[in-house]
Order: sequence, then structure tokens, then C-alpha cells
Amino acid sequence: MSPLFNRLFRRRPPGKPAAQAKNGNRRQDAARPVHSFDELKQIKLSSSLNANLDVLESILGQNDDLVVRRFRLGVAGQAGAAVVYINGMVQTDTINSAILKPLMLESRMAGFASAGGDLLELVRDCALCVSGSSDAPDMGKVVDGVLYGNVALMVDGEDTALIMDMKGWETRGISEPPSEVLVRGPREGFTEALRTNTSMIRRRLRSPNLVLESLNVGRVSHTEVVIAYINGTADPDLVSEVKRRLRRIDIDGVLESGYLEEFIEDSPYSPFPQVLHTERPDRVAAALLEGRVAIFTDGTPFVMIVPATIISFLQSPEDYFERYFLGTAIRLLRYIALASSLLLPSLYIAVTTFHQEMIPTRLLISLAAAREGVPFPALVEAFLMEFTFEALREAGIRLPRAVGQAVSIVGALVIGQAAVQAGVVSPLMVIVVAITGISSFASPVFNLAITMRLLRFPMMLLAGTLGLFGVMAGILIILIHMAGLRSFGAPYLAPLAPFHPGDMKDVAVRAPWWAMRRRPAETGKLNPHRQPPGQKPSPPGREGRGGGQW
Amino acid sequence: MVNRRVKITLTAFVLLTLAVSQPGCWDYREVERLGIVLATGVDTAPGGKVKVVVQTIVPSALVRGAGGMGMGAPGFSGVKAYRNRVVEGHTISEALRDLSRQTPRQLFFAHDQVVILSESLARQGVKEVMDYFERSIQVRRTPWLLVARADPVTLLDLPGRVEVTPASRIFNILNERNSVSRYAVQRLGDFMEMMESGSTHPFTAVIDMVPNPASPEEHTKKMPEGHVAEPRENMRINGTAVFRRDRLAGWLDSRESRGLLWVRSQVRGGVIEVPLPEEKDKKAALEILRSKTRLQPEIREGRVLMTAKIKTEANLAETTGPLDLTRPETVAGLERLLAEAVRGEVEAALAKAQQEYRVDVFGFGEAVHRKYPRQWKTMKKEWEDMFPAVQVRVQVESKIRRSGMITNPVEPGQR
Repeated sequence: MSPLFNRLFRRRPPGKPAAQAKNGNRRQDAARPVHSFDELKQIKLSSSLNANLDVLESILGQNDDLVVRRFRLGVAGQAGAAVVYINGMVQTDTINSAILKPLMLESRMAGFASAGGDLLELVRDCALCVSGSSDAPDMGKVVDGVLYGNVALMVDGEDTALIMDMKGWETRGISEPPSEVLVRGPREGFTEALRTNTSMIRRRLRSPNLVLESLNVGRVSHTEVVIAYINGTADPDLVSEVKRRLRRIDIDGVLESGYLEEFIEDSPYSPFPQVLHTERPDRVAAALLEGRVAIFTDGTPFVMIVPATIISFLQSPEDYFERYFLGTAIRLLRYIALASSLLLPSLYIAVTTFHQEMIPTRLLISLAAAREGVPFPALVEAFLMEFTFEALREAGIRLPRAVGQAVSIVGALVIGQAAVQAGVVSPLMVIVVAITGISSFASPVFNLAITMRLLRFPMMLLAGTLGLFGVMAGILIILIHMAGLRSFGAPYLAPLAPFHPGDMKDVAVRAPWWAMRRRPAETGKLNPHRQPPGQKPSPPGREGRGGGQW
Repeated sequence: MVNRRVKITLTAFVLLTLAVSQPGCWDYREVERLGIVLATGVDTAPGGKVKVVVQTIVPSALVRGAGGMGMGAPGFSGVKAYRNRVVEGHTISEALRDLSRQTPRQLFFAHDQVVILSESLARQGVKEVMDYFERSIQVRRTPWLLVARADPVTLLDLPGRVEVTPASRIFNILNERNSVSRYAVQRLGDFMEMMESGSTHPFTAVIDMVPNPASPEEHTKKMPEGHVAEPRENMRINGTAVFRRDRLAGWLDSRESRGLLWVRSQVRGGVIEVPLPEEKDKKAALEILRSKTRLQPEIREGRVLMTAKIKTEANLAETTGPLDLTRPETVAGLERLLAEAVRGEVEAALAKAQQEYRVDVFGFGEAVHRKYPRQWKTMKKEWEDMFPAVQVRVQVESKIRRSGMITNPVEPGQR
């Protein structure tokens, strides 16, 4: 705990018992004992059904949505049994038809033997029509299973319970990912359901080498986190590092992958995102093929991809789906847009207030004419407009969709127009701010655009105080910082610095698929060859010349 | 202790902010605070002083309507878009600084497009004036340098309708220099370089004020409201001024000016007239497309022999007499005539420069220097005397490329 935290605690009024710093959620209460899974794991099941149910009721009994259904099985109904589940998280119909019906009716007709010790085995192997089931010898597993939408079956005289997968809660259907829309490409996006998400990756990469390993994070939320990678392509060191960082996390709840991101990123003080997150399964599949590792978090459609480099934030899946000319051109456009979203206002300020000799004469005259009567210095003017723009954008995002668009467009137009007419800002500044705004929307990942938005303001200050010298200094500081960043061991500026000439096929341009023969150098070391050479298509009869054979 | 680290970080941040912001801003100036100078004129004044004319733009006069909405056509508001200010002083800098007692704006010379020197100043010598222009951090090497035979003050206030300011009018006239090639203009920097070089003497174009034949004879006649009569005077670039080092040596007319340009390989266009072979008083106009000149010096018995190999191409632009262009001989004949005309122009320029002014404006010295670097060391001191005696051989290789939309001359009733 940090000293700051301690001081906050010390300031609490005396007399009121402070919640314990350790295990923050554990408040002693006589009426409602607080349980932890570690503790529950210690409680072994007994062979008495009633005893087991009593224990279970003492743990979960206060919940109205807990269903305990007792029944008897066997020819004469000699063995007592019970199914336990949480209402709303399971498929009740299936429980009735696949568990209760065979056990209560069909077992009687089939003349179930009442051999004591083997009863559970017999039930499991011969009567239950449920595919996913496992044995639970302790209360911890039972409670965990029941809370995750499974059904626990306990039989009198058995010290093991059966946990059966009956998950059946309502989920959002698969829809187009709203934050990453493409013109050409799959329209599926991840949902909040973890298994739906992993299944989308399985469907795309039907390889026995695709590994999905899961672990639980969060003391209270017990969130399932899945690490996905392709065995033989992803660097084992990277995989174990991802696991190590995830296992280290001790937090009460994980509600979004962002919680994890802040625990596992390399430089927590950097403004640059070091983990790529996406809603698109195609993007995750592509990253896995490059040897990266994906981290799925239950309850959020955002999947994290590591390691992430600055270039990966500027690649859109569409680059790879459209023909490569278009991909290359759009990528260049995006680089320019990125630079201008960071630099345009500061360059404008620097050039108009310090380096007027750099402006073409006619433009300078128009500038001077436009700024005639504007009461603020260019720096203040820029801050004013940028602030207005950012506020409008924020308002536009948070408002209901239909209203939001109207607000942003009308607001920008009206304010821009009125401000110019009133002579508060110059029309050129409005243009600059507008171009900057548009440029920042051109980033395919929202993450990096936010960073650029943030860095724009210190850059503007530097430009307003030191001119182009300040802008250059700012650029250098940012570059030096980026050169020192790492994302899970991969240099952030790779493949530019360290320079991997082979990777330029996917950085400077988007090479056609038949030319992308190698995986990226940083992540694909283990299995560098993506495809054999010589696949460039050529007209029939001319295969010998252009390629075709190799 | 984290507290200490926080303290150190905060202190560093504050210090850094101060370090950046305090020395910053010293050369900060807003665009609208600048008096953007587009033209400068320098003249002599009594008492060894110089008279400086400065033309600054009035940006607000360029804005259409009120409230700063949109940029209209230049000078749209009908208000004169420039101001001229005249000031005298012993030095240009002192004179200009003194101007800030009259102008609300800080004069900004980085966009100066034209520098005009008066004839009297040019005769007196320009090196004192050039010191300012060369030393100034704001003035570039790019403004055009002109010698005015008229008063620079009047010249810089000649009313124009197309361009907003006389400065941009001059600038744009000079931008069209390649469609006539009738004057040899220099940028300020090039002029200064030539002035300081040991061999080549500087030259630049001359600007004149000429009566405007388009001006109505009776200005007093009643005009419809809003009508502005053509002004009485026009400005015109009129030949070339030749300097001996920094002093005006004399003029080259437009024909001799092009001769100079031919030798310096700077003819990029223009029309050249040749007499037709059959009828001498009828002319053909040839449009020059491109030209290239190579100077080949040779030293023979201590004397310099210069060969100027001029290659030029032209189109037939017009003919006022009969020409049968279907016959190759006619074309060959035209090519010979073109070569003759070019040689005539070059020789006119050579005669003026070698015999009358005795200054090497052609760059012959440089050519010798390049080819005979060792001999040049001794020759350099005598070059002033050697130059008039340089024998120049002009070899012209001319080509006629096309004849325009028609081949043979227009002949009524022949089809």
C-alpha cells in the first residue's frame, strides 16, 4: 500500500473501525460469514446429502435465486439426490429433460441397481445426457460451478458432486463492431460472452496448434481470462511472460480488459498505448498468425493483443482485405493524418507567430488580413478552438446517437461560423482545427488518436513559446520516449527502430499477399516463413516467366 | 520516500516550464502586427543622405465585406491596399527605424519582392546601399533588383487595376520575363554576388515610366459613375542597366539585352523577327522555344578567343510574306535566317559591352577561369583590359520545329 493510502486511512475519524486494508472486502459480520474460495476448497464434501446441502445453504442460502431441487432416484427411490443451480443462469428446460427426467423416471424403469459406492459413477456414465460434466470433491468447486451457471448434482452417500455445464444466460447477439467499422471485411464483432468470442477465433483458425488457456483473475469477480496463441508460431517466452504478468494481478474485480491492461503494460507512465485492443475477430486472428498473443476477458467485447507497436495501431484490417494499391495509399494517408493530428495546430502557431518568412507571400497577406481584429494571440486562439472542438466531440460521443451527431455537426458549424463572424477567431484557425479533428478521426484505433489529442496541447504550448524550435524539441522528446518504450519485449518503434528492412512490406506499403512471405521480425522469429515464394499470379501459359513455379 | 520523489518531480516540472517559457517568446510577433513590405525603393537625397521608399500592404483592404468573412479578390473593398512611406537618412537602417515613428506596424522585410534603385543612386555607386541589404537578416536574396529611370516614389504609386500593389505588379511583370527575353533582370543576391566577383560585372533590368497610349485624351471628359479611366502612365521594363562593379556604366536596349541573354544561356522564350528571303520588307516572326549556350574559351598567344555555341529552337509564329513551308529548303532557309538574327543580337550586345562600356557582363572571365584556372591567376588582374580585346566567335545552330496550326501562309481564294 502506498503511503498516500495509509495517510488517507489515518485521517479517518477514530472509533469507526476501518475496513481492513488487507482483503478489502472482508468485513467481519456474525450473521453473514464471508467466504473465500481458498477457504471453501478446504471443505470436503461429506457422504451425507443433508450435511452437504446444509453447508451449501449456509454459504449461498440467502440468495433467492438459488434453486435446490431434491428428488429420489433408483428403482424404489432409495437414494436421495439434489440438483443445485442459480436461477436465470442455466437452461432450465435442459435440466428438466437431461438431468431430472433420466434420473427420476428412466432410472426407475431401467431398474437401476442400488450399488452404494458406484451410484454416482453409474449415474454419470449411464443416465445423464449432459456432455460437459466434472467431479467436484470439495465445496469450493461446487460453489464456483454453481455461480458460473453450472448445475451441481449431489447424491446421498457420495462425497463427490457432479458439476454439469448448463450455462444458459441471456447474451447480446453478435453484431458489427461499432468502434471498428469496415467497408469490406467480416461484419462480426466480439460480444461480452467469452466463449462466443473464443469460438470466433477457433472458427477462423481451425488448427490443433491454436491454444486457448484460461485463468481466473479477480478475487470477487473471478473473471475468466483466456490467453490465445498459436503454438509453434508465438514465442514461448512471450506466452509465459503474458501468463506471469496476468497471474501477478491481485484485484477484486475485472470488469473490462482495461483493468488488466494497466496491470500488464510495460510503462505505466507513458501516454502511448502499449496494448492493442480490438473488437474484431479477424484482427485477432491475424495477430495470432503473426505470432502475437491475444488476451480475452470475460464480460467485454474488447480483446487485447500483445505485443503492440506504434505501427500496429496504424494498420486497419481493411488494408489487408482491399487490394494492395488501395491499402498502401490509405496507409500513407493515415500516416500523414497522424502527423497532422499531432502537429498541425502547433506548426500553425509556430509559423504564424515566429516564422512569418516561411509563409508564401500571398498566404501571409491573407493570414494577416484574416487575423486583423482578432483579439487573441494565435496560441490562445488555438487553445480556445481546440477546447471547443474537444468539448463538442466529447458531447457528441456521450449523447444518444441521434442527438450526438446533430450536436457535433451543428455545434461545430454554428460555433465556427459565429466565432469567425464575431471576429473572435480567424477563419484559418477554424480550418486548422477542423483538419486536425478530421485527421485524428482517421486513426484506425481510437487509442492512439487519444494520445495524439493529448500530446497536441503541450506541443501547442511549445510552439507558442519557442516557435519551430519548440516543435522540433517536442517531436524529439516524443521520439526519444517512443524509442525507449517496449511492449512485452518488442521495441515500440519496431520495425522502424530497430530497423527491419524486410518488415517494410507491411509498414511503408502494404505488399500484396503473395509477396508477404515472412512474418514480422519481432514476433515471428520462431516461425518466420508465412508462405512459399513464387505465388504471384500470371496469365496461363506464362507461368514459367513471372513466377508460378518455384 | 514517495513524497520526496513527488517533490523533485514537481520542482523539475516547474523549473522546466519556466526554463521553456521565460526565454521563449522573445521574438514572438503576431502576423497582424507586421507591416509586410513588398517593395523597397532607394534614391539619393541631398546632403549625402539616402531616400528610402517602403511599400507595405494593408491587409484589411484585401478582405471582402466586414467582419473578416472570406477572402475576396485582391483589393476588393476598393480601398487602396498599400501604403508607401518615404524617409531619409544617412543609413538605410536608421531611416527605416525612424519610420516606426510613423507606422503602427513593425516593418517586415522577409517578403520584399522588388528592390528599386534610382538612376542617380546607381550612377553614384550602390555598394553602400548593398551593405544594408546583404547584412539584414530579414531581406532575402530573392527580391528582384531594378534600376529606375523614373522617380521610384512615383513608380511605386502608379495606379494599377489588376494587381493589388505596384510591387506585385512589377513582380508579376518580371515573372513573364521569358515570354519576351528583352531584358536581363537579376535577383538581389545574384546581383551582389556578381558585384563582388572579380570577373563578371553586374547588370539588371531597367524600369521606366512610359505614357499610356490607352489613356483617353481628355481625362476631364465626363465619365459614367464608377468608371475609372486608364491612367496616363504605365510602367515598363525597358532594357538592361550595365554596371562597372557597383556603378552604373550604361544601358543596353532590348535588342542588346537579348544578345546578353543569348550569351548567358538565359533565353527561354520570346519572339524574334527575321526578314523574309524573297521580300526583305516582309517579316516572319519566330517563337523561341529553348536555347542553350556553351562558352568555349581558348588562349592563343596570350590572347583569349571565345567561342559561343548557341543552340536554339523556334516555331514559326507568324509570317507577313510568302513562304512555302512544304519545301525543306524554305525551312532550312528560315533556320539560317534565325541563326543570323541571333548572331546579330549577340554581336550588338558584344559591341556595346566590349567597345563602349568595356565591362564583362557575359561571364567570359568565369569561363576562362573554369577552363584555365592556372593562367587565370595572372590574367585576373589584367582582365579589365583584356576583355575588350577578346575575340568572340558566335556559332548558332538553329532549328525550326513547327509552323503552328497551318503550314503555308494564308492565301485568299486559293482553295
